Amino acid sequence: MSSALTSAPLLPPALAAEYPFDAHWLDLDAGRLHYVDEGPREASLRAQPTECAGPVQGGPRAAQPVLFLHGNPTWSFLWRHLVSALRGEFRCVAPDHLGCGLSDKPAAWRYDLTGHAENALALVEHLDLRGITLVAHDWGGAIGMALVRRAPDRFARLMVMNTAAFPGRMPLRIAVCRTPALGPFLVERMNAFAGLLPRFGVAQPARLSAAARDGYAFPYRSARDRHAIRRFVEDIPTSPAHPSWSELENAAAAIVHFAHRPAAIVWGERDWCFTPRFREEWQSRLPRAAVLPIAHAGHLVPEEAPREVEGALRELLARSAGA
Amino acid sequence: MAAEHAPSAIVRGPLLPPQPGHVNVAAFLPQTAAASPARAAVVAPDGRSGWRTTSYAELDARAAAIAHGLAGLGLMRGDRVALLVRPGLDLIAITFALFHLGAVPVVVDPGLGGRALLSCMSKTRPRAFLGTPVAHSLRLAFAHQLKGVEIDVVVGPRWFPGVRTLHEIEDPRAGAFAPVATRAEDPAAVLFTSGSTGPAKGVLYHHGAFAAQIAALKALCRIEPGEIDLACFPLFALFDAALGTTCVVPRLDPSRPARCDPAALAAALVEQRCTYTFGSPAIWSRVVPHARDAGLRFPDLRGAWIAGAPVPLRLVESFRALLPGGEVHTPYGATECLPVSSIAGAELLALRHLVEGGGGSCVGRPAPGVEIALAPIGDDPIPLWSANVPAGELGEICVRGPVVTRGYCEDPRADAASKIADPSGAWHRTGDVGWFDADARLWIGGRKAHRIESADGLHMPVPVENVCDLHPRVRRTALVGVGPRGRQRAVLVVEPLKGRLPPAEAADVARELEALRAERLRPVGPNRPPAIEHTLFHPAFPVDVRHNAKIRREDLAAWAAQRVDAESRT
Repeated sequence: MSSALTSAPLLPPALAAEYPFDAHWLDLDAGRLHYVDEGPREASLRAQPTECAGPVQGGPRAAQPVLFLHGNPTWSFLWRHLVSALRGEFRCVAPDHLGCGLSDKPAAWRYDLTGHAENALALVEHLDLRGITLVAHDWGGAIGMALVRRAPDRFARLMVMNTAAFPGRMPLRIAVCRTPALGPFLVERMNAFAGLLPRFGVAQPARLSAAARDGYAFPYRSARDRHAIRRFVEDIPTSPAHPSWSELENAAAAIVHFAHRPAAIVWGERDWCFTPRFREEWQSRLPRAAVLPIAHAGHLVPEEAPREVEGALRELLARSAGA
Repeated sequence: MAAEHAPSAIVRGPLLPPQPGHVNVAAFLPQTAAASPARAAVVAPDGRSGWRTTSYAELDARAAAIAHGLAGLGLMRGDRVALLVRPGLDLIAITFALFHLGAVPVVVDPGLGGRALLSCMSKTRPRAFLGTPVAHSLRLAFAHQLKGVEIDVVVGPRWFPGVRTLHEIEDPRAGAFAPVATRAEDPAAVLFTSGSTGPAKGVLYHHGAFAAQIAALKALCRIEPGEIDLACFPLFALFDAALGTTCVVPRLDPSRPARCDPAALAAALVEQRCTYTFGSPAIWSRVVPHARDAGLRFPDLRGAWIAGAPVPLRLVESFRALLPGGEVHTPYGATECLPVSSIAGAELLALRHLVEGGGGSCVGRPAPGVEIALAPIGDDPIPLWSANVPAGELGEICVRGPVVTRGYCEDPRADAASKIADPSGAWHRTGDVGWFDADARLWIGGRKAHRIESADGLHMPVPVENVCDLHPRVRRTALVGVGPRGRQRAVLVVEPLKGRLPPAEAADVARELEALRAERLRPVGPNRPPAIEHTLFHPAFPVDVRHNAKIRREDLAAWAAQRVDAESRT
């Protein structure tokens, strides 16, 4: 069962100031899943800008929840600017996938697309979130779509950022991290993935604050902590023989759920992994979606362009679910 | 004392032909399109290294199609339009479409950053908002801004349903659009610039000032139709379309020119065979050393015009060496008034002993259509013009003429601080202090706000800095005043090339600077070398992030005051 834990010194003080959220936990069979849950649980009139055409009837309604799904190798820290900006009006839920962030890092777990999606489903059902606006970055897009496939009726809107939920081309730099012996060595021992994030993940590394750098690195300090990161990389399916291939294909099929629902595609254009070609693929799958290319941002869009993302998300949230 | 000197005269540039009462700068575009439809109007980057050319006929048709579309949305003459679009073809076409309609684009220097930019925009109470998806998203993040906007158009890919894109509103089948017959005094545009002090001010342009600036630039720079410009200042892209020249849009982030890629700019100059270019010293001090080291020459470049910040003589010298058939010019002006004056590199270098000997920076003779006079130096508003300073003295540079804008947008305090009424034509105070030499050349000593009033009189920083900057181990210097006005002490602050210097080396450099000043610094014109008791070293001057050129002297002076205070106590 979940519980709010405010007193436990999870984070060093500097990081707690940068990430000022209460910790919440969901006990899963494999371990404890950490999540952020900020903002109103019940709707106020202010929090329902478009959906209450008439007076609210039948008591308080659930607040419009926003579900943030991070990718690899980040954690809910990625969403701190957006959660801080929106929690006054919207319920913001941001889990750390198992093995990531402040969640448990069990040594023996499946660490695949199906497993992460089922954990996310457990959280959504536990909190009984409905009318969800899904915000997904990086591998969070694939997990998110695998989640939507499992509970489509709970989802009203979508925002994707530098992500894919369909098979695509993999850059050499990531392919290297998948090589049988070398990959685990680079990712876990040399910290090639998470350690290089501040350099390769942003368009302007010099502008990333020291607090942000520390925040991204915090959960992945030792080789053991980086197991999930390595498994994420290995779990990218590139051929139908891969165990996660059919899960990804099913996830891709779920994108159509948003073809006639409010959707936005936000893209840091200076991303060497999820290049603008992936954005174009999203655009072809969601032709009615709003498109926000951000020329000065790299992979970590919510980090580099928080205000731009916030504005687009506010616009998305203002769209009535039927539009 | 003052009675012995006659007031200095008003110095006038060549006359501009008188202007018609009705003028719309948009009309230049259809004129060129009719005369030379196939001439390239805009050459803009396409992909990583390619270029895409748009002819005058295409640009004219595009501007007309946008004008028809915006008119269909109900945009009216006189409406202000917040315009947040990156430099390039769309920006040029939209601006001319707005001129056609008599609507007033509001353009903000992108270097100001999201929040300041939108707050500038909202001061002008725009009726329409034309911007990229990023601009629209920022507007929503700062949700309280720009509430009165009735017309929204996205310039770029599809945005949320209900917000039209430029592509959707363009009406290419509607044919030509007859420009509205605006009068010379009708507003044409509002341009926000980052002032060196205080909040950004919105300069209100009228059609007459734009038309006069185009005529003045044409006469000053001897620009002929068909020439090719590398437009490193976005504003000059608009002038190009009016001058009938080709505008090459550089691969340049206009919010951070000091970070430009010198190879890309040099390649653009060569590949596009540019014949003239306007840009800031921040750009050229990157491009020129790169071109020199790469062994490049720019044989087609006839005129390189460097403006926007003080230009070191060594930059002029090294740039000239790359121009076998051209000249480097350093014009003087501001968003409120341009061009004010200009000087050619050959003449400037002949004055080196004075520029680097205590005279300050020479910016040449008045540009066509400009009158310059020197007002007594002070910080209070001057409601009515009374008298020039006595001949040969320092004064605040004031300008008037058809190229000078009349005021700011919705900003009476800025108007009061910078305009002086005069029955024979109002003056604009530039905020710069200068003097005239016997050949009617204008010299600049620095910003009025940076003057030093010590017990022995008024001192300006630039004459001293021009000398001290010659030291080979010095990146730049700033002379600041410490203490109350009238009893200020001049303190020299030095930024070494290497950043931090060990104390012994710093002491050496300070001694060498003193010797350099003793050798070089002479009384020139009204300038007298100040007594400098303190030399301080600062590893990295506070500067604006944008050009990495304008030193934030107010901050530096406060820092120097603290340091001097601490020294005197120990």
